[in-house]
Amino acid sequence: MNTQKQFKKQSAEKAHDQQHLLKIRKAIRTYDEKVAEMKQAQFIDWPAARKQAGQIKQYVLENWADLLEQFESNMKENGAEVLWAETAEQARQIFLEIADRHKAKKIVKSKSMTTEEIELNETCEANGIEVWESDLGELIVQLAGEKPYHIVTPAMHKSKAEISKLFHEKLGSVESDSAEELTMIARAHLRQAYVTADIGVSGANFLIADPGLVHITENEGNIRLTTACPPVHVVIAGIEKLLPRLEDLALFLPLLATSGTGQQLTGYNNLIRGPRAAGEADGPRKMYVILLDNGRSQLHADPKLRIALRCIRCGACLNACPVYKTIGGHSYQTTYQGPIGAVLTPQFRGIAEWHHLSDASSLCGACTQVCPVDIPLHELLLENRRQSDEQSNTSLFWKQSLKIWAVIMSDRGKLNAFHRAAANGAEAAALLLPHETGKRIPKLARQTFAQWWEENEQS
Amino acid sequence: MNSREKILQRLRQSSPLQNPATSPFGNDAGIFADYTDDENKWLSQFRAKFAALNGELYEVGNIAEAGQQIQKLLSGASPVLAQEHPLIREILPTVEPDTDFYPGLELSAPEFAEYQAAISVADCLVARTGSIVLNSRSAGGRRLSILPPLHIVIAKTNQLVPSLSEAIALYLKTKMDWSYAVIITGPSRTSDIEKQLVLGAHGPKRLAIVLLHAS
Amino acid sequence: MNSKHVSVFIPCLVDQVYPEMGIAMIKLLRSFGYEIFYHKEQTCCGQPAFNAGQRKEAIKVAGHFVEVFAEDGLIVSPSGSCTAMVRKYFPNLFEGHHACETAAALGGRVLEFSEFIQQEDLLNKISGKWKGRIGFHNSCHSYRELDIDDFPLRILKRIDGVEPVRPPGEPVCCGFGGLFSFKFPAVSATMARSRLEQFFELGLKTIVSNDPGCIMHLRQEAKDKNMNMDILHLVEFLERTTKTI
Repeated sequence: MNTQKQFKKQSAEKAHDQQHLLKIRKAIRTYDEKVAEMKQAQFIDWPAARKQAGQIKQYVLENWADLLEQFESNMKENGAEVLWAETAEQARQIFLEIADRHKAKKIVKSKSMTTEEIELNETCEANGIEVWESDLGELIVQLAGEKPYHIVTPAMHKSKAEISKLFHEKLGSVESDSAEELTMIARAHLRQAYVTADIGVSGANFLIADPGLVHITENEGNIRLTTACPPVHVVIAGIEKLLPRLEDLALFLPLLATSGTGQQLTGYNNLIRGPRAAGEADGPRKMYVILLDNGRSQLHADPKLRIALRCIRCGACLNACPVYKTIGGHSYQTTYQGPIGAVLTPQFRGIAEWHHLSDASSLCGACTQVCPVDIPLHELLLENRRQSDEQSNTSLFWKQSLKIWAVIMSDRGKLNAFHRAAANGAEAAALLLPHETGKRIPKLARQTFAQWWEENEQS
Repeated sequence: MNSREKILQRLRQSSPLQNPATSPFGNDAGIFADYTDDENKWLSQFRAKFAALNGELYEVGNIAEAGQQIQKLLSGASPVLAQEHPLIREILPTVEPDTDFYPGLELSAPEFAEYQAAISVADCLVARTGSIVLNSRSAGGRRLSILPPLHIVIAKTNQLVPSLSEAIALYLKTKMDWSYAVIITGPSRTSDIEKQLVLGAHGPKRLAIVLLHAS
Repeated sequence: MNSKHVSVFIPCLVDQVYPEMGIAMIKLLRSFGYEIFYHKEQTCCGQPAFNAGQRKEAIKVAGHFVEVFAEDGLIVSPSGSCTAMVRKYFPNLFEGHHACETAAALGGRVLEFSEFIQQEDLLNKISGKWKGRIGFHNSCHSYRELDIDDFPLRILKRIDGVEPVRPPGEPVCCGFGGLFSFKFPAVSATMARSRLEQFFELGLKTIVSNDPGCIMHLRQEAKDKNMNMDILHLVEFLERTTKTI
C-alpha cells in the first residue's frame, strides 16, 4: 500500500477509535489549560512576543550562512568539533565514524527528533551499538517498538496500564497503577546507562552563534546526565536551530516552555559550550556537533516556504490541530507530525508521495494562531497544495471535477443549466460532487436564489 | 566542494536580503507581565515562584544558622558530597561528618551512587522565574548537582536578579570560563505518563536553597 | 429612512442549496433601509479550486467574480469563509495577474454580514423576542482571517430573551474545510461530531453561525447521529425573531 492509501486508511480508523479520541483529548485539554494560564500570567502581550521572536528567527534565515560559520568557529575555539552533513546518510556515516573512533558499544540518548529524522537508533542497532533512550516518553515508545507519537510528548497515547504492562514485560518490574512508581522504575533502569555508556547523544533546541553554545531544554534531568557522565558527547542538530545571541534566550526560553508544555520555564535549560575545560571537575573529554542539512537549505531557496524554517519544534501546532487531535500522531508516519509535519514532510521527502498530508487539513488556521514564531502554517499548506497541483500530483478525478466545476462556475448561464439538469435534487449533483468520497451530497434547493430573485424581484 | 561548503553556498545563494539587523533581546520589562525592577520585591517574588515549583527555601541570617539548617536537611540523607568551595568549607565544620568533597572524575560511578545529597553554590537566582543559575566552573562540575537525590544550593540574597536577561548579562556572559551552565527551575520532573506530575524523574527529587541574608 | 445602496454576494452554496439564507439577508438589509443590488451573473468566489491548489481553475472562477463586482461599492455576504477568500487570498491568487489590483481592492469592500452591521452601525436597528440559550459557532475563517470576534454575539443579544453562549476554547473547527470533507470524510465527520458534542454537553440545542459551509456540515452530522439540534444561520435566526420584518 502506498503512503497515501495507508494514511487514508489509518486516519479513518483512528477517527472511529473512541478510546483513542478520549485519551488524546484529555491529555491535550490538560495542556490547553496550562498554556492558557501561563500565557496570561507571563506575557503582557503574547502576540507582540511571538512577533518579536519571529523577527529574530527571520534574521537568522536572512544571515544563515554567516551565523553558522560564527557558531562553528566559536564552538571550535571551545574545543568542540563541528561536522557537516548534507543528508541523513552522511550524518549516519559521520556518527558511525565517531562511534568507531571511540570504540563505542553502547550509547545513551536524550530525546531528539533530529536523530529520529536520520533513524540513528536503527543505524546503531544494525552496527552492533546498543541504544538506551533516556527520556521517559522515548523509553516507553522504544520499549514498545513504536515511533514517537508527538514531537514533545512521545508517549502521549499510552495509558498508565499499558506502560505498567510494558515495563513488566520488558524490564521485569512489578505492575503498578501509580505514575510515580512507574517513573521510579525507569529512573532505576536508566541509572546504569548513564555511567556505562561510551557516548551520550543529544539533540539541540538552539545553537547560539555568539558565543558558540548548544542549548538543550528538558524537565527530567536525563539530558544533564547524558551530557555530563559519558566520556564523549555528540550533538545532532538541524542547521535551522540557530539563534544569533545568548541574550535571545531570555525571550525564547519562556516562549518555548509556554508553548511546549505550559510552563514558565522548563526544569533544566542546559548551555553547553564544549567538552570539559581545563581545570573543571568533570564532563566529557570530547564533544562533537553534527550539523544536519537534509533538505533544509533547498527549502530555504523557496521564497514562500522558507518561513517554515523558523520552527522551534514546540509542538503547539500539533496540540491545536483538530485533525491531529482526531487522527493522532502515528497516522502521519512521519518524524514531524501535525501541521508543521504536513508542511515540511512533502518538502523534505517529496511532494508526489506526501502531498496528502497537506490535503488533510480543514485550513482552520488554529496552527497559525498558536505558533510562537509566527509561521503562517495553514497558508504554507495551501502553498504545498499549489505546488503539488503544479507538479501534476492532483488525481485525475479531482483535476477533471474541478475543471468542469470551473467551466460551470465562471458562467451564470451554465450554472443555471446545471441546476435545471439537477432539478430533481441530489442525483444530478453527482456530476459535480464525486461519489468516491463516501460523503453525502447536500440536496440542492428546488429553486436557486437567482431564480427566486428573477421571479420575485425582477419587474 | 565538501558538504560544509555546499551547504553554505546554497544558503548564501538563496538568502533573500542581507543583514536586516535586529538588536539582541533585552526587553524583559516590555514583554513579561511578572517582571519587576523593584529590588525590594525580588525576594518575595522568588519565594513564591520557587515554592510553586516544589522547591524548598530556607532563609538564614548567618553562617552558623546555615550550618544548622543544612544539618536538619541532611537528616537521613547521608553520606553527603560537597563542592570544594570556601563558603561551603566555612559552613561545613558546624555540620556532622560523613561529608566528602567532590574530587571530580576520579570518583567512580559506583562510589558516586552512594551519595544521598549534594551541596553546591550557585551564580545567581532569578526572581521572575524562581530559577537557579550555576555553571561547571563555579559549582563544581556537571555531575555533582544532578546525580544525588537531594541538591542543596547555598546562595546569598545579593545574588538575586529580576529576570533572565540580567542573569545572562550579569553572570553568564561576564566570565565565560565554563564549558557548561544550567538554568535550574525546580527539582527534576516529568509528566510523560498521563500528564501526571512526578518529581525526581532522573535528577534530584528535592531541590533546596539555603539563602543567606546579606548583612 | 433615506435609501442607501448595497450589493449582495450570494455564495454558490447559498444560491444552490440554501437560498432561504440569501432571502433572509436581503429582507434584513431592506429593513435597515438599504436598497439591494443583485448581479444575476454572480456565481462563486473560487475558493474550492484555490484550496485544492488548482490555481488555473480558481483564477477562472475568481476572475469572473472580479468582473462582476469590479464596479460595486460595499458588497455584503452571508459567509465569513467566502469573504475571507476575497479579502485575504485574492491578492495571493492574482499575484502577477492583470486583474490583481482590481481583485485586491475588492477585499476592502466585501463584508461579511455581521461586519456590515458593525461598520454601518446598525446594531440598534435590531430588536426582537425569543427565549432561551443559544450556542454560537464562529467559523474559523471569520475569526482568524477576518478578526470577527464577539460582534455576532452582540447582534444576538439585541433579541430580548436570548442568552448567547460560546463554548470555551473558541473557535473550534466544525470539520468542513470544503474538499477536505470529501477527501477525508471520516476525519471530517468526527470533527463535526466533537463540535456538536461541545454544544450538546452545555445543553445547547439551538446553534447559530455565520457560515453556510459550517452549517451544512454540522446539519449533516447532526442528522446522521440523530442529534436533535437546530442549526441556523444568523440571518435566518434574525428573520425569525426580529420585529422589523
